Amino acid sequence: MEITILAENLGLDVEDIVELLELYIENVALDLSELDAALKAGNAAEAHKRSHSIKGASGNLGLNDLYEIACKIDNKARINEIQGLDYMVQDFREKYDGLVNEFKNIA
Amino acid sequence: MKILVVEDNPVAQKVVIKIIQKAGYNVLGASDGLQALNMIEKDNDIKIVLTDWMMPEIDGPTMCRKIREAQYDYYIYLILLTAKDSKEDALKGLEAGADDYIVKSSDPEGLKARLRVGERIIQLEDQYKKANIQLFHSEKMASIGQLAAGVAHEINNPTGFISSNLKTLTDYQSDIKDILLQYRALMAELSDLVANNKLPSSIASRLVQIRDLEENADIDFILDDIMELIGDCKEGSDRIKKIVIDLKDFAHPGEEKKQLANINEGIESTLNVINNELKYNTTVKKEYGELPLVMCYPQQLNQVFMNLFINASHAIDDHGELSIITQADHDFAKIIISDTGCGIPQDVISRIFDPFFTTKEVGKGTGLGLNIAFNIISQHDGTINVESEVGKGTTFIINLPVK
Repeated sequence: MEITILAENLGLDVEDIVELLELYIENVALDLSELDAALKAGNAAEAHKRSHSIKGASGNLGLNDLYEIACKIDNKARINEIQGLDYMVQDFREKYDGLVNEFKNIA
Repeated sequence: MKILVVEDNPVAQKVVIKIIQKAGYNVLGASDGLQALNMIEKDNDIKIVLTDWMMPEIDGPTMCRKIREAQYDYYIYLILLTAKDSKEDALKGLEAGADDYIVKSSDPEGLKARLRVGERIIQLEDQYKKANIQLFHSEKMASIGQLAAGVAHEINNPTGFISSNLKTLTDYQSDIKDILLQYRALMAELSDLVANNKLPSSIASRLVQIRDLEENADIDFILDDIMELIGDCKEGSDRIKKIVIDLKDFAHPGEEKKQLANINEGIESTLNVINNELKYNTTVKKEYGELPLVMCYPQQLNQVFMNLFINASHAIDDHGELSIITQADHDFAKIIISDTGCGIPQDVISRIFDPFFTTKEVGKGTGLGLNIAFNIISQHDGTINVESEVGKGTTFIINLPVK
């Protein structure tokens, strides 16, 4: 993740991106844990709500890798296909954790 | 102008807000459609709304539809924020009343360009609305002018023969009175003869009859009152003539070109036309200075005076004073219009010339009077300023260039 590239793409300052990433990490952590719980409970509507939120946050910030996976999860959850989604969520979580670590090092 | 970003995802909302703020706009955020509608209802400075599609409570398209249904007096430009894969949804949003759509933040330059388009559309809508209002009012004034000219023509003839007949009646009355006085003298002499039994009894009883009739009819009072009644009628017909002339002067039918006009006369005819509106609670104090003729559209200036005088009268609760001072000030004609009404609070005084801004009750004011006054004075290259103190009153100062 290159913060300067993200900033350039959005036409914002690096400080803005740092602030937005902090907000992203915080919100997505909550969405992810709620998404896990929804999948365990077989609650497709809640899974869709949470994956949609993650998709929106990732896409808006220009985190394309995370956005692509979130899209796939969201598309499945939207049509109630939540079987096997936990693998995709796991994939997302790994990339998300990578971003969190990278961000911690930069910050 | 403010831009409202409606987005339930806090990250997405903050990204969009930051991009727009960076472009120098004043931005607000709402996290669902219901909150957004409440904010729009309370803040008429929100002119552009960027909204997400899926949101709790009220979604984006429903919100767009509700905004259009509310029929605000000003135009609100609506942009839908869509995900990269939801362009079909965006088309449905356009049908619901949105003006445009943009894929979320993937293209900040595109977003800014679309905001500029929105600004242009809002500006055009405002201009269109203002032009329509001006047109409506000038057409209204032209209609009043034509009506006044028609009424003047129709009323002048009967008023003319009423005046002329009243003059003839005065002459007749004077002749009748002279003859009656002669009859009375004759009756006194005859009464003396009757007393001395020098006349037959039939004449004596006729004299008694006539005296009874005179007493019953109170002929002395009638003789005095007839002149007073004729005088009142004359005054009434003179007033009819004057109000018709004033109405014509006020409306200036058919005079759509700039011309040299006497401002004091314009104020005077306007006051006469709206006298009925003022007379119950307003004492008018006038101090007309010597003004040069001003190159202007007299009909339009009279409309300005009328709006200001009526506002003054509405601002006065029980009874108060409207003071009008005119004076020449170098190459300007200065008109100072003050009232002792309720005054304008400081927090709204900067908005009083804005279109549709009103503090009057619903249905009592359109919020256009002062905006029209401002536009007319500006078109004359003049200025209109206001000073006000709550509880003491308001003063408008108009400066009009003489040429």
